[in-house]
Amino acid sequence: MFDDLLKITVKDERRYILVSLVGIIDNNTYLDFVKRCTPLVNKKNVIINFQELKYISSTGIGVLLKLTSLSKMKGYRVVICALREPIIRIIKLIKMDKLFMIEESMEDAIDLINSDYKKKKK
Amino acid sequence: MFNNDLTNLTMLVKNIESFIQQHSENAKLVYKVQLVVDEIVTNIIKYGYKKEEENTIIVNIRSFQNLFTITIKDNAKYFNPMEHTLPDLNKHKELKKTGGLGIFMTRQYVDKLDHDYQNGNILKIKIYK
Repeated sequence: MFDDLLKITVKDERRYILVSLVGIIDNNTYLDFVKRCTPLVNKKNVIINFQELKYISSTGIGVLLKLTSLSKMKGYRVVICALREPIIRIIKLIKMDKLFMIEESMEDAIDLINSDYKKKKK
Repeated sequence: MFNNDLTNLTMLVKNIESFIQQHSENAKLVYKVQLVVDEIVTNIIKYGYKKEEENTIIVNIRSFQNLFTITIKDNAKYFNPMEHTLPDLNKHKELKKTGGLGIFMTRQYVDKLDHDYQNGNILKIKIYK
């Protein structure tokens, strides 16, 4: 029923997995987001592109926080990027901006993962 | 007007987008109004009503020259969001818990919120354009 409300595209790259979201994350679509992303954060760094995400509720922000924690436990990162201004604003208002790795663009997020990889290699 | 079923709420959130866009050029207002309605109605459905009971929630959004008014009526138990204890954000950060944040987020985005109780909650909200 809610298939068209949240579209999740996954692309497995060498150093990270790119997840692109289109639509909304609310009480009805968040489960799909959890199911698709949980296995990913357990195996690689994950970049989540928010550019086409129009809406996220407190439930969605909670899921994002859990995915970030899971990833950290496995020694990986979740980087969220290209967030729309009202979504960044609410994350700052609830003082969770320090808990997430937020980058302005997908290119910045990829750069971050790549520089991490180079540092580890040294 | 819709039943206390979360599946109906998603359609409402989606419909709010076109309504706000018709009455304001400020794109930020779309998210504000969506979030406020979504979080309050979610709260009513999850905590105000018993799951097995079918009930009704009335949401009315009106556009005026400089503001949107939102009225939300239910016949659930008493709940005034303005009396709701706000979460300790530092604790949330440390424990990485997010429960209770919806009402806090709502209060960040409304310009005025009045609550009345007459056989149900009546919330009157103002968000300036």
